[in-house]
Amino acid sequence: MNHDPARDLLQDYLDAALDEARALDVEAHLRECPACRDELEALRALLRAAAALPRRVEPPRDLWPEIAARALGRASGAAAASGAGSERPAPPASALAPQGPRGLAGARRGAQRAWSKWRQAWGEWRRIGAEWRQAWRGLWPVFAGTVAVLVILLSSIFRQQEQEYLMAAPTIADLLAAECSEPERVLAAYEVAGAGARSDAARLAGESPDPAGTDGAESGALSSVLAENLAIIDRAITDARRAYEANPDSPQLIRLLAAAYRARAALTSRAAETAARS
Amino acid sequence: MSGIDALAAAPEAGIGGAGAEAEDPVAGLVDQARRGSEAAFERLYRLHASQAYGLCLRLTGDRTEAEALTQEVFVRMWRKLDTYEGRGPLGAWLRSLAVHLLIDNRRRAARGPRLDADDGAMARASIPPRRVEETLDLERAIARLPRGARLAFVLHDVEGYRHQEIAEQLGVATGTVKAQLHRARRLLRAALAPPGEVSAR
Amino acid sequence: MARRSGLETALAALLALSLAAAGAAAQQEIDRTFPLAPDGRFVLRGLLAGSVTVTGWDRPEVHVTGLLERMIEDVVIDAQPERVEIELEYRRGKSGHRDEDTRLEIRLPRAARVSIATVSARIGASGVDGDVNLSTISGGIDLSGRPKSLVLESVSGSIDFEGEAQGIEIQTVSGDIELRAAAPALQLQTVSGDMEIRGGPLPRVRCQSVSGDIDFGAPFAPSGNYEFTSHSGDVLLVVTEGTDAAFDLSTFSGDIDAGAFAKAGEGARKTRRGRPGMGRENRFTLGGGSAEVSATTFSGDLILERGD
Repeated sequence: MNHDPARDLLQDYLDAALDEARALDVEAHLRECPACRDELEALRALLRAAAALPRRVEPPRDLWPEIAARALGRASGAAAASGAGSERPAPPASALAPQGPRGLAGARRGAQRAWSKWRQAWGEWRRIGAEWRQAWRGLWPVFAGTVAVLVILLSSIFRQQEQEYLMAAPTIADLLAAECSEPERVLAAYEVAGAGARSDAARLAGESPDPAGTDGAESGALSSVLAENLAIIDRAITDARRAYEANPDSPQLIRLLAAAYRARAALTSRAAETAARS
Repeated sequence: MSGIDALAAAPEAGIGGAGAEAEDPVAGLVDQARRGSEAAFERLYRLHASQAYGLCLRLTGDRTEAEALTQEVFVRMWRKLDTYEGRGPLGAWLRSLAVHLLIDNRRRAARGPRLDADDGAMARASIPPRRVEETLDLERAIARLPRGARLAFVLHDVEGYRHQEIAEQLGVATGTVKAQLHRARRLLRAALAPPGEVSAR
Repeated sequence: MARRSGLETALAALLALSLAAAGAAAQQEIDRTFPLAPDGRFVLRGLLAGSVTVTGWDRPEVHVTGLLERMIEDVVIDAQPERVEIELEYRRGKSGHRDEDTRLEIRLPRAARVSIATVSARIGASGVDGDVNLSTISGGIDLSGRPKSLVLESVSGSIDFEGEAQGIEIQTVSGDIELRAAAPALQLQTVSGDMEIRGGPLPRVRCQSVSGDIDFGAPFAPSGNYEFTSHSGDVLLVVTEGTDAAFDLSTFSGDIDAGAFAKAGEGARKTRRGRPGMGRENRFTLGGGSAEVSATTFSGDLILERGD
């Protein structure tokens, strides 16, 4: 191999990104070219130095106070003065944050309180889960057809090329909320559609065949993006559903829940598409 | 973990929660932070601050920007903790937040040159000409790299990510990452070489 | 050119053969031209990695040039007067070390309808006035011009559009979306990507996100209709002087920071506990309230900022 092409390839050679034939060519050239050998060694030294750079660097000052101020809201004294009062409502009781008197007795009481809170929550969850399972079984035969229609409708929405629909129609949630006097039944149908689609998607994403056998990394990366985002959506659905059940009359919660379901339908149909494409 | 924390955290084990935090204190802290524990949040910050700042400093090449970016990373971590899946260490997730925020900030600031802009000026060294007697050390040389080259170099040769991962993080093609990486190395070689030696191609 | 696709397929087969023969000797170049009606359809499928750049021009022709990576075994072209379809087929098996990328440059009639799907290849397009439909998994999409309708899809690639269209629909999973655009209808959807919208006029907008942030900075058009929904992503709305809109903001557990607007607007109520269910809400009207802006989040924050 001549000098110029070899020189161009030195970095790739260093990164082990050349196929065997090319690599051998470069090595052959290196054997007879001291300039390239020096260059390679200099590059190696650079990379060694880079890899040896300390990854941890102590910030010159403590950044925590400012981080806390921005993330946790202003201290309560200042909130009253700021008018718009954008104080974060306290998240559901942090049962785990140590409360009450310190010392072992206080800690034990705190732990006991936390424990009983958790048991309550757990019981609550199990009851809700049982209720949903029952409802689902009851609704399934009735909504098998509706589900199919909904899934088709949803996936076609997102592939819609004609803009008339876009311009004229309200959102799905509006449509459903307006036309369906029992939004909970429709949302249950979403849930059914989602449950089936989700296991399909997981299966598809997991075994999406390597498109050309070239990039296991790529289809692996794809599966993990899909799985990660499906998890994000599922968490959103869980949150929204819990809130909706506590407040079934809230149109915003219906909207949020329907939006989360829509997102899942879109993701699973996209997953199916990409698996089919390869 | 202090006695009180351990006691308070123990009941979770029965629920199939973070029972593993004996092995992995960070997972336990993450769970607590998710539930709103500010103390856990601070602990997570303390544990990861210097890692985060180190990365931010190298990515931005500027101390003030690095401080601001580090703060944003942790604020964002707090807000987006529910999207952290637990696959992979928290540190890696924080690193990707940092890169993401950095790109985002640039976009908000100005529609300036895009990361993957194929500027013909690429070949010309952007590092200011050295005075003959000055020798830049590696850190300063990295700080002076043009942004795209610096990101690629820091993420690949310092932090150890692969081309593909970097490309995904930055939303560009793998080829772009490689091009920037090679450019970075050439520029650094030129900046660090003793006077009279190699010149940037 | 031949009307029958059979001839073209035969020609394509010839092309494929010649590519195979070239083998591993050199990176394959492509340089082909096909007639295409000014409003014909152009389809490119199967491109895995690399980049493809599409530019509209005034000739009734498609001109395809560029370099193909060695893993591309076959380029199947189906060329009809009304439609040109190109499909790339790759060799199976490990590519070993990929040291080259496919780069395609496509010039086509500006009113053509364009449809391209890639895996990780970047897609760039400009000067195309027809319907544009681009889909990628992890490649970026970078578009400018005035397409008729725009449908863009990505999983993790980021999407960038500057221009105008008669309707815009964009969907990503984790890819970010950046727009500086005008269109009578805009619909954006993402799971965890962030979106930033500038430009206008955009009289009808639907943005939905799960955990990504929404940053909307186009003016609210009179009688416009705007709906922003996010679960845990933040929604940031930039409000300019003279805005004429009714705002309905609500969040289940996030914060609302409507700052000065909430005080200045008519019917403004300070941020307070919302209707049953929603933790915080804020409804107020600026000006005559002709536009309707509704933003709902579950745990994301709602922030209004002054703009100019």
